[in-house]
Amino acid sequence: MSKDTILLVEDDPNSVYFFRYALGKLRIENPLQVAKHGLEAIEYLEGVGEFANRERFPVPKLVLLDLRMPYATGFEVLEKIRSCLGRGKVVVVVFTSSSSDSDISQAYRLGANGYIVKPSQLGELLKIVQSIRDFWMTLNETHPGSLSWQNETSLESGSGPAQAREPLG
Amino acid sequence: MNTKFIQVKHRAAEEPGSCFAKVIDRAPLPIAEVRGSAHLLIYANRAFCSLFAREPSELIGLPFTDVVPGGPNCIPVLDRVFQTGEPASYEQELATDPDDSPWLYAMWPSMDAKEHPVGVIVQLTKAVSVLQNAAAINEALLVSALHQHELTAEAVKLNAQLEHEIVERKRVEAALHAANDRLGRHAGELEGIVAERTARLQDMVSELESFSYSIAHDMRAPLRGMEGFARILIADHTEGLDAVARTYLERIANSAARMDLLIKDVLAYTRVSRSESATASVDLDRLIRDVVANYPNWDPPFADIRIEGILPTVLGHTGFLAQCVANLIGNAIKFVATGVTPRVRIWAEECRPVPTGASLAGGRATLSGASAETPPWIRIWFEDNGIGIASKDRDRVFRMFERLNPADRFEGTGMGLTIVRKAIERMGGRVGFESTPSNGSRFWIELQTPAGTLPPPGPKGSGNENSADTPTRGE
Repeated sequence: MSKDTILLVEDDPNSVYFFRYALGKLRIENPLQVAKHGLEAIEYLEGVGEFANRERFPVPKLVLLDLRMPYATGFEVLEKIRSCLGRGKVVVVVFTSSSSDSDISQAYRLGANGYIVKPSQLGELLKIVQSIRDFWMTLNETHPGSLSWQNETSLESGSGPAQAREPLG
Repeated sequence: MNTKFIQVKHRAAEEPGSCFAKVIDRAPLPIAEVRGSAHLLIYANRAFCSLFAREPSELIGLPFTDVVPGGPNCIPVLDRVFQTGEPASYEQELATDPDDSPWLYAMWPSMDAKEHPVGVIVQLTKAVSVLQNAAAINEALLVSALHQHELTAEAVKLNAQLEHEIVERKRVEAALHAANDRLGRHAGELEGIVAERTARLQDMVSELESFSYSIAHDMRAPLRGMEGFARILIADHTEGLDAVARTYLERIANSAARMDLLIKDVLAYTRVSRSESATASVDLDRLIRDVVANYPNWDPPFADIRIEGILPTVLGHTGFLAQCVANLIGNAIKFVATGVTPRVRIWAEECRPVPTGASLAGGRATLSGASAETPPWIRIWFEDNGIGIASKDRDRVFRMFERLNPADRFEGTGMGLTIVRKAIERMGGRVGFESTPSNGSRFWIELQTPAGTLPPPGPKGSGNENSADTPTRGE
């Protein structure tokens, strides 16, 4: 269980550094993978290009998703995940510094499982990372079975919709 | 001729009981008969006698000229009547006394049985009244005629003037009409221009706001870096640092934290200025208790917050209201003298509806119908035992970045109450306070209450609903 991967989608290197620092401080052993922007996140989840090796780049149990990023925004990543992987397979928690109502409702509309506003102080970050590990990586149960990325074309052929309609695990 | 006269006289006297004689005798007008060349009175009726205040016996036989005034002048007329047999009249003016009335002598012949004239009958009338009245009437008529003439002239003049005025008025009316039309057109054009400019301004303002929002937002990331790395140095690398270096790092971290607070407040202000401010029913009691529960450092023994009774439901915006309550209670707890435990008392009371910036007429209207139609307003009080606000600072309280107290004693950004005021304004409410220095402050907010029962919405609630709807979206 502790070997489940976390994918942090974050373009700010400081934020990545602090997150890693927090994991280290809290002795959380889950491997952390980082996508530096939205497009990289989609490629990672699709398992294409340099991410084809699932041994090295395993499908994450949790995606922590920043919203404002180059190439593809967090919303675009979220939309892609929900249309290609369905619900309940991958837990997506938005992790952003925006606390605007419109961002929050947009995130939920697109199928986010949670929404956490980034803290401004390191001390708070440590508490939040601990909570994320405790809840999303430990207590929370995800949809059983293996993950398969279904591109939109194959979805339309009829193999995907049932999966897409699955309720939340 | 003389004998005849006498004979007739006798005949008349001999027949005093005759019907004719009686009629003449009792006639109210003075009547007498004259005969002969000496014009002697041979008969005088009662009215004649009483006119001259004599007995008939004293008058009969006297010459007519001796009895009546102006008798001699009258003789020629008298003779003519006798000779011609035609009646005539003579008017005797009395020059001596203009006030005395003139005499009118009506004369006609008296005949014998063979229709021969034998004498003249004279009937006296004091023409007085008739003439004078006639003169007076004439004069009056003349005067009134003159008057009428004057009046007519005046009326004609007035008419002309009136006509002129009517023409003038019509001209003015037409001019006014034209001016009104022009004004209307101008007003329309102006309205158009104003609307256009307002729209442009609104665009600019919202552009500026979104610009400042994203700037403020983007500033937080590097700040997190400064704060974070300073904290890591302090926490993990103390061995390599002396006390002074550690102090500097503390200051860097604290400065970053303070700046972050400032940005957070600016963002909060921008949010209450920009977000949709649609109001709905808000359970104020639950909201305030939730806010209080969310701040562990407001719990006893740090502070003593008392909410009196159950607070009512108001018309507001959950997010804005939570922000207001947090800022008001935060202030109440923050601004106390050293060593004093902050005490905050919160209660609500109904109040008269006070429309913000509404006209007097509007105010009167709502006052009169307050109990029946418009639901009451609620004033929520936040009373503290803090340092209070000096009256000279009253006007600065709600201004942006204004700080009434030194930063080294009371931390803050000077944004808290500015945000409160903005949020309350956007909910159509009012905010104010009462305070005496060193004796605490009582801040209040006034909000409307919902008219009927409304479904309790909320931004988070609607978000969850939307997320539950998502599966259908994927298809």
